Amino acid sequence: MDRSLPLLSLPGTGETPAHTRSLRLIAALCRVARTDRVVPVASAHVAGVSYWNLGEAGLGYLEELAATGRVRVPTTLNPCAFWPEAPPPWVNEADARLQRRVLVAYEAMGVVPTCSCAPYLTGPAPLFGTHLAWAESSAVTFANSLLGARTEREGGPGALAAALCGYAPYAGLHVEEHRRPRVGVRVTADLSPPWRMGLLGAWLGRALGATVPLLTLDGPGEPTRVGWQALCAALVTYGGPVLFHVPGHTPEAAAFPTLPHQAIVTDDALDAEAARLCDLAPGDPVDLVFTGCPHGTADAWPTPAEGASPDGPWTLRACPAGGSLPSPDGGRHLWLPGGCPAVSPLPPEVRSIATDSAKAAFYLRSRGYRVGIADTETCARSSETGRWPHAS
Amino acid sequence: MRLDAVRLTSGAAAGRLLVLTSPLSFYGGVDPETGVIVQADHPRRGERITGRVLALPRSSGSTVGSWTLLRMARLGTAPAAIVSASADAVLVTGTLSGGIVHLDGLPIDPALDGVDASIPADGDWLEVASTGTDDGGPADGPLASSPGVAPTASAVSDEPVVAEGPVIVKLGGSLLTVKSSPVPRVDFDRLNKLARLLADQLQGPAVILHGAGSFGHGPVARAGVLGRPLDAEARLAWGRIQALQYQLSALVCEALADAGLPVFPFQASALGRLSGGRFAPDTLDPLRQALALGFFPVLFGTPAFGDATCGLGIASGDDLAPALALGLGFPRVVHLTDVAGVLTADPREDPRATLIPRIRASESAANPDGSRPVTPHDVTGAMGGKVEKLLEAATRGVTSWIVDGRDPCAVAAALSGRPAGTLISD
Repeated sequence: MDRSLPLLSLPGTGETPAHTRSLRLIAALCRVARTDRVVPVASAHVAGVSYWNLGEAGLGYLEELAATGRVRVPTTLNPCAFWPEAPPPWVNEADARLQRRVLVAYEAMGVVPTCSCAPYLTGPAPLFGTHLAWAESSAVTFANSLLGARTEREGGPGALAAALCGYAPYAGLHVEEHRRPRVGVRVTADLSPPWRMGLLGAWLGRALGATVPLLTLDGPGEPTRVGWQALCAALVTYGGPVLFHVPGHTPEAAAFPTLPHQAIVTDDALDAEAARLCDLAPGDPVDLVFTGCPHGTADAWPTPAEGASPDGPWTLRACPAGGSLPSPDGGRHLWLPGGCPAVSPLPPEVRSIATDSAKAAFYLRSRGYRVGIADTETCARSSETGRWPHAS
Repeated sequence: MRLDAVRLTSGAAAGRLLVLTSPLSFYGGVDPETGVIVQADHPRRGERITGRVLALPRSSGSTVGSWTLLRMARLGTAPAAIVSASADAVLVTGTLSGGIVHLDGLPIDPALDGVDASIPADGDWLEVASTGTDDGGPADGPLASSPGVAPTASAVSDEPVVAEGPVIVKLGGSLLTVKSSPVPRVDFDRLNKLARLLADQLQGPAVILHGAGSFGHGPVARAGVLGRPLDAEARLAWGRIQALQYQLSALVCEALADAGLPVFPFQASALGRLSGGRFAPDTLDPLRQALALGFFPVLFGTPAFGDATCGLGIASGDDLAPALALGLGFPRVVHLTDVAGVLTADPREDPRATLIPRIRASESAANPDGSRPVTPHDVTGAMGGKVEKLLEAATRGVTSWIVDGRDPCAVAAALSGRPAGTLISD
């Protein structure tokens, strides 16, 4: 069902200055997308929360909007650098104050500070066929592919404007004809370990670019929910589309004709992908271990290892804000509720990082860190020994 | 001179144009305090954008770029206006929040660099002082001229060479596919644009050929089937290669049909054989019948029988184009490629390479052998082989064009029989 309506049916001037500004941004984004139609959205998810991404000008923009702006649809928030009420030990009070000002501005607009990149886990998941204005690329991919909702990959300000006026430009993946798959790929690799799904996403993004794929899973082992999240996160990070279809696993796949397989992804291909993404050799020191990208549910995480040494690597687990977290065990093992190490300041002595996430590996490498990528258990072992382990 | 555009933000502005031919990353690429371009790999590094009318293809890099523009607007270091070829959300968020005048959809013309320009308060256009080289129609010109290629169009008259008549159009494989890709991959944006362009421009009967790009050259080279005995393994490889080419052809036909062209696919190896390395049609009656019924036959480079070495060779799109033109009695062949035409050297090696606007069969001996660009992945002979086959056809009355398929003006000119790219005639 086409729910779109003409851009001209929206008012040119809003009820408040912030509403007017959001209407103007939506109109400009429509012109950029060369469409003259908008579509009402069921929810919005806003990115651009870390002060270290926004800067003073971005924060000023948010505070101006917050003076008169109120969201018109349920709106959730992406992770910030760290939760300002529980800052990690390497962050000073001035930095925590800046991060707090960002959250205060969003809360004033009625945005729920879930501070998670998995809004489909922190609240009711979007329904099939509903239009959304989401900004976090891994969440956009999950909503489009696994849930059959419809959203473009909005920028942070675009998603906020859609939240403030309730409409998004009717373009891209909102439109039925852009959602069909164009390339068939057969996967024979074992996809039951979640981190292998991340490698699959990196392979697809690198090899196929932004073409929507139809994946046929022919390997042993079923992907888990955490695995699908890892695929969604890695796919777009490495240049892929924000939508894929998998017969038997995603809701829209059955609506499309079978495509011949133009590529086959084997276990060997994923091993080669892992080697491509890994800077660490066996025995290299590990200064920081990071798991929890993208965010899972807090109860899904293993308890920190017992008796960790005070000089061991920092061990960080990112998770959504709020909820009942296991109490921090002190020392260098930390939960990062509502946070994301990819966008936050890290301890100055850190040089090398172990992670189980292909997406996190990309962003941490682009910040100059040496990164090792392996399954969660291997990362946990590095956290105990402080070394990148030999292949088992 | 007035350049029509799409208005993205309101307001009037005036200033001297600064024309960037490559995208700019505002976050990290511009110093917001001084307005100077600091992006390491940017050709205009060191230029100050403050107060200029900044023309750029689009922005690149981080989404934080919006906030850099906003900060510059507050510090007073922002450009007077931004005119973009194809804006993105990062750019328009920055110009809208910073109150910077912004027009979009303008072609990037390096010749306008340094010229005074203004944008009226409510106008959807950029007013530019005349540069003296105004040729009348820049508003519908190409988005960007091919890098390193000196414009030579003014040296050639605009009179039609071959006014009318049916045409063979070959879509180069490097246009349709991402030729460097390790797996076969279609460039759907490019393909859909080309399909719409053909649907708009093709007036009479035409045969459409397409190359194989990453669906053919890579797999053929990897399988090593050329010049190898036809054993069981090689037969299997030949089959797989053709299965891939059928997939590409299906996608091309689908795009052409979506654009409104009634396509009728044919398999070239069923219509003729290879003889002396050239494709020799046995019968073209089915093609003639399809044309008579108003269809556009679609063929592609494919393995064909009759080669002396192993009984199998490749009849490439470059072989098929002149062979079908001669066989069907078509006077025109238009090759759409990813270069401006035949150049004096490989532009990737020699930035001073210039376009050769016309090659005549009668003078071709004077054409030096080293003057042909080479495409490394092309196992079927690249530009040199293409020109040779077209020269041969030229002596028998077929006029050919080699033009940049990404340039709608060049494609339109070639399809209407006017000079464009490189013209090959008797």
